[in-house]
Amino acid sequence: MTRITKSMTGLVLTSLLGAAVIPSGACAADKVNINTASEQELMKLPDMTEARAKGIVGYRKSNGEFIQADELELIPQVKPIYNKIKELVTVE
Amino acid sequence: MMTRRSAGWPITIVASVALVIGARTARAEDVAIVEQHGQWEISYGAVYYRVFGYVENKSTKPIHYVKLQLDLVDASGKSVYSTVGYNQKAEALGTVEGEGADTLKRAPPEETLKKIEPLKPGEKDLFRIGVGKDDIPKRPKFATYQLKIVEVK
Repeated sequence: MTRITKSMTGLVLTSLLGAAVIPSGACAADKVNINTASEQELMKLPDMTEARAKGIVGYRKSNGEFIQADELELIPQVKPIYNKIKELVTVE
Repeated sequence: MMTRRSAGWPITIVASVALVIGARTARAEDVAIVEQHGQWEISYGAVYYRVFGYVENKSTKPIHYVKLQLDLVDASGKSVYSTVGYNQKAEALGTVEGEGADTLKRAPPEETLKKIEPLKPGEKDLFRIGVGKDDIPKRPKFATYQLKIVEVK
């Protein structure tokens, strides 16, 4: 009985560790908020260059906060990488 | 004299019924939205959310206009902004907004309607309904849109 309990505990711990190590998609907390992120924070996104980050901050200043992440497609520098970053950003 | 008048009544009734049936008001079911999509756009420096698509006359009679209602809805499905628009051929029936719009002389709707080319049976027509970003509430943010036909004539 003790052996079974120990192996079950081991199984649960392995599953929990596995879940922590293997990412199953970005959750809301991991996402970059494009309405508040600085240029430096935006640079953490894949294929994000300084020019692209400046483009996002500039759009925000000119047109107000993003209502939808889809608005990123309106920024010429960002459009080419939009599909790559759309799941990694939020507009909260 | 009385007998002659009485004899004419059935004909009058039949003619009236035929007129009513013939002039049956078009219903929303007579038109279908056959294609639609929404996207952000920049036009003359201003940002808009626009919904485009096609309506099709599914009836056997001409249709003068199709009025559509666009609702921007939040994640819970609640409408945060609502507006209406017409099929492209009937866009003249829509309201004119912006600076100086109140100074424009507009023909009465009946007059405008006479100038609109009706949608023939089976014919498709484009529609586009746009909302300026400044008019869209910032909170709660809209997640998607809903489109429905509210009037057909």
